[in-house]
Amino acid sequence: MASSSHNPSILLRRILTLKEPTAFVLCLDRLEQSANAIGQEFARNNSDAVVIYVSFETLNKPAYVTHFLEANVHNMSKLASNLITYLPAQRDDRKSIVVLDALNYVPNEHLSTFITSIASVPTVVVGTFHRDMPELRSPALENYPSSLTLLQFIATTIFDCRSLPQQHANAEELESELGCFSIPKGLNDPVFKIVLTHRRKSGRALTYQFRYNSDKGDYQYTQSREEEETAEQENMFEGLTTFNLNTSSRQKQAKEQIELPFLEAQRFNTGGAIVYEFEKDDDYEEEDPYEDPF
Amino acid sequence: MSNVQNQDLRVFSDHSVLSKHLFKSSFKHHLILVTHKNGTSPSWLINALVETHIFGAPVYLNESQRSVWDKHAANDGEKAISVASFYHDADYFTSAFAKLKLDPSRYRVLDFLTNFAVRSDEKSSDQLLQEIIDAVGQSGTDTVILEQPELLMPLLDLGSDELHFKLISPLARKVSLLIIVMNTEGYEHNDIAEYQRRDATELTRFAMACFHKSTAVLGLKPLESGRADDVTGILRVSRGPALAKSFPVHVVENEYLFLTKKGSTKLFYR
Repeated sequence: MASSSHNPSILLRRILTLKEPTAFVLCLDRLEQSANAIGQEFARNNSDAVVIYVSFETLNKPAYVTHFLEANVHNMSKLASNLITYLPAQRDDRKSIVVLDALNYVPNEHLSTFITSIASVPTVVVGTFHRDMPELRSPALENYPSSLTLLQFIATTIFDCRSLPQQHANAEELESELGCFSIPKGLNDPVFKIVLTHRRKSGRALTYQFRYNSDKGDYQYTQSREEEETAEQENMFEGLTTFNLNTSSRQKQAKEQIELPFLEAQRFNTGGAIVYEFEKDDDYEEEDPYEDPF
Repeated sequence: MSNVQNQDLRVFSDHSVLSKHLFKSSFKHHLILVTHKNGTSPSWLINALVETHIFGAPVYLNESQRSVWDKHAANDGEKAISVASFYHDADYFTSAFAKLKLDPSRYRVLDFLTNFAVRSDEKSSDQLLQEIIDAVGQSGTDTVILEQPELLMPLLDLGSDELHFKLISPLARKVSLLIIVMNTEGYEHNDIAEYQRRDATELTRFAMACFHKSTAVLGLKPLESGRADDVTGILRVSRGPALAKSFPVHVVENEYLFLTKKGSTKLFYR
């Protein structure tokens, strides 16, 4: 939720201009909306940076790229060492951006090693992961997290790219169409929604939504539905009466801290237990220990 | 439906099916995906794409272009187009192209169906995939239509990523335009245990990877309401996730109804 002390648009601009400390930016996309524009936006905001593009699926070198490498997934350590040779030296003032177009192709067991080996102080790794590409799990790594879980854990910033709701009839219909390998009209538009999640050093995660126009490179902060609903509830009683029926944030906080009675009864895993605490005025008889106190 | 005016197929905003911008530079490569389901055979669309490459437009499909079509203005100087299939033999395509009166010097048919399984016993999968790439390279074409390459996964015991890294990407980088034709029937039951097995996961992964590489997607599917006498199915033209912002033309998204009858196909707006 946006508080007065955080301006979401400034935070996004700081992330895009590499002023906010972040080592690994994860871009999530699906058939409905590609995240290709995010890498380009980083390059556009850092025109003096060295941009190294590692292609797992892209066929053409994008115009904004300094070096274009074709990945060989069969030798990830060689790819990482090759990649490092293109990065500027640490004493060099220039920043570098490594764009990885599809992390789905990096074997799950090499994923964390690969990312950590290339992400360093002057280098920002911007990696895309297609959420809709199924992953075949090795039986030996049954209890190891999936690639998506792992990447979401490593990433300090996540750009989740989605189509705008007005670009398709409804979410259910969209899911059904995409599930049948059919791309409805109006998707992969230059204007789309970004759900930005940024983790601060303290571990606190901030989540904001933006409407992003990749043609113009501008972004507009939009409230999420939950935020809109909360704002609606807050203003519900305004203007209805001459009395103030709204609750202040201090009152809300106090309300949330009240401990409700009989909560202890709900902690039992099996229902139906009676919680009884003997009090001084209760009548207790020695003869009948099984008597129902009520 | 017979009273409704036919419509011309257009994929790109320059009123073309295969835009000239796709072939402007030999250093630029594009992938167009054609998907189909059981009951909506893509043969007529493959013929239309071959015609487009040779004549500049699908003249037998687009009636308005047929009347003004100038045979001498055809793309004579252009390279030939190759059709490589793992699903149909060479005769299937040569007889279809002969009916359309296409000049045999303007197309190559690469038959990867006949005896391919026999050869797979003698050679390793890497050798066979390299042979396919070499065969396409030797045909001297700038456009390849590859029909149902997903069949190689069970045949050569390959994973999706292997097939992409060893065949699809090297092939796409050899030519200006790679058109992949694939069947997507039956991939949509992800919630059923049978479809969560290795084979099904790999097939779905392969299809998804093709989608993510594509500039445009031409999807054929039957009518949701069932069968109709005057409509065979729906053709949907959609933007692909890989369409670059710098590409000078955009994909004109559209949905057509099509009717295939007596060997000819007509398109109508939906």
